Amino acid sequence: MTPLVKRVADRVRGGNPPPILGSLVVLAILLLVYGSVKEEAFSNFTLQEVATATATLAILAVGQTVVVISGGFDFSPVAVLAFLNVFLVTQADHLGGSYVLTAIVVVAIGAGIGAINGILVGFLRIQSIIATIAMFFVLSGGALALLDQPGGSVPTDFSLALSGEWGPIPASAGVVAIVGLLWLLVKNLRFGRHLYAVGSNAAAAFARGVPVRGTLVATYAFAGLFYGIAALNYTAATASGDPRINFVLLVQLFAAVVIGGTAFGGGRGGAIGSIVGALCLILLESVLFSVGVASYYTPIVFGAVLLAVVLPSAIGSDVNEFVRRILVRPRHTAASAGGEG
Amino acid sequence: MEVGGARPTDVTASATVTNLVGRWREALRRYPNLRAVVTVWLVFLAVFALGAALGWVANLSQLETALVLAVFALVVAFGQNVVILSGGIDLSVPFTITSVSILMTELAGSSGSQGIWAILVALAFATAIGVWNGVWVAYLKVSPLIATLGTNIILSGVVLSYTQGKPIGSAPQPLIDLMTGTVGPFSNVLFMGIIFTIVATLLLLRTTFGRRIYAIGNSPEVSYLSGIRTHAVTIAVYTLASFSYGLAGVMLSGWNRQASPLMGDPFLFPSIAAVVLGGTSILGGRGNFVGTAGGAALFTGIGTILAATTLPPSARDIVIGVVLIVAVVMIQRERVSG
Repeated sequence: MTPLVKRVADRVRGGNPPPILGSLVVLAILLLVYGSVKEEAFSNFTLQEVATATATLAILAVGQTVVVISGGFDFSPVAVLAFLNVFLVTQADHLGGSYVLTAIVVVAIGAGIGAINGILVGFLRIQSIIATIAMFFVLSGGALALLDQPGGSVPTDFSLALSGEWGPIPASAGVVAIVGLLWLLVKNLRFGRHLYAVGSNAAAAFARGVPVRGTLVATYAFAGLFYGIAALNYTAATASGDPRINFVLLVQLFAAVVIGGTAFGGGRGGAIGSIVGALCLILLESVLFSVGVASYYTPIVFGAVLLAVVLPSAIGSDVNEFVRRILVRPRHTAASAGGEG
Repeated sequence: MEVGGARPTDVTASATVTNLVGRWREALRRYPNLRAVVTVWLVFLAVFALGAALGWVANLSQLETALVLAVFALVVAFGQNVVILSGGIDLSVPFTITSVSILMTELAGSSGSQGIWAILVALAFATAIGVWNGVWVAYLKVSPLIATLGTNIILSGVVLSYTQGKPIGSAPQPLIDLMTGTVGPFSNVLFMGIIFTIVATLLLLRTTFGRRIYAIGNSPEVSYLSGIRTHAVTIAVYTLASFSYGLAGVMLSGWNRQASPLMGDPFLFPSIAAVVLGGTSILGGRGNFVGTAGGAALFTGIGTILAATTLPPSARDIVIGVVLIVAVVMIQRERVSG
């Protein structure tokens, strides 16, 4: 352990802390507050609750993180979630009633949807925002076509398998752990290196022989695979279908990614931080609920947290720029010939 | 571009055609997205012609309702258009619309004709939201996506905690009269839409402020070095955008007679889609509002036509998604080849 601590300490002193550090500090503070305001904060039952609530957000955030590292944005995850959720509820019977098969199909469809996004972005060169908004439209329509209002159900054994308990730990926590390990594995494969290379500078990566387009397709397919897993978990937890789009979840997703230390713009960050970020958000929600803040107010707090998280680095850059501008102002005025009249 | 129709003599006809083709080429060179703009409006007309031919648009009032809804959509899309032209994106659309409308109907209550000042207060609030967004983006250098997303969710909390999810108050009577009134057989809203489109287009293409928006969208650094106060322009852009959303909210609540807590939700992604469909580059600096207006009209048109068929409402979203992809691929191709 000591070499690791020393390594982290060195990086912090060198002004280059690992991106996950901030989210761990936030998590520690939140855990303290949570432990002190919530009754039976660490009982099996409440931990189970927290794990279930965190899992969907955390797994979706892992997928979003992969896309953000590649330099894009994904607006489709909440629509993918709604679509696969109602797909699972309405179509499971057509698949022979085997829930293992259904689960595989759902995850595969998730990956397929992601691959389409990836083809739009990688091969057709559509901006990720537009491609995923188009996908958002198609899937939110698709979800409504399958099920026009909340309803339906899944068998209890399916629910229990993914949101019950696996031995001593909540099943949701187990699923999140598997997702995290999967990410760590993939990150260290060649695809992982390509992902970061494409995200930091696609042209340079291409010049060095990185298959940029293939990497992008794999990126979005991989993200879609995570959305599929999230949909399984979500459906198990809610045990019903809901075609409506949860916009608050979309915001929480971006917030979890940002809190987790993944910078927008690509090439930096990691999915483990996003899992921690998701846990922070759920703990925060739980704390607010415990101290009696009406649920109507939680969006305000989420928004404030989102802005607060990006503020320090934002102010930092602005102070730097302010100083630079004072120092180099004469040159700017000299260079302002021509241009706007 | 067909010769058909009037042809005094073959010589003058072909000369006219050559002339027209030449002008078209010239115009294409000056306005690179002209083809997208023309296409989107032609598709819009074609969709309605088809709808009318198949009897889906049964009467004029249906068509008029579609156009009125298109006006609200295009006022919102103008806000999104200026932000995207400046190189940003605005996700605070839904709850800017909603919070401004709720503020207005709450202030006006049932005060009848005394409620005009409520409109002004509400629009001032919209302006304040825009300044707030602009400061985050320009001075604090926060990604527009994060800043406006944060603003949106904060406003949503304010609206939901205040209204508890229910419609509240009612629009001032003069506003209702204005928005539901007609000039001859046409709704007032249609004329407002035409005037708004003309003013908005001229603002972008013919004013210094408009050109500065394009300038910072193309390159903030070069703009700064050319003496443009980029921060001020950015704040003005977000302010103008929020004002447009607020204006759309006010108009919509006048037309609906009231404001409801979820009225802004259906406007966010369609506004981005309309801008992109109209040929504006999502990266900023290229595009114009005539195309965006066409995009907004086309989406609303598709929605209305499909609503009149036996297809389920969900078909609308699917069609919009597919149209968006096809359009963007076509626009992209043209940019690569041209």
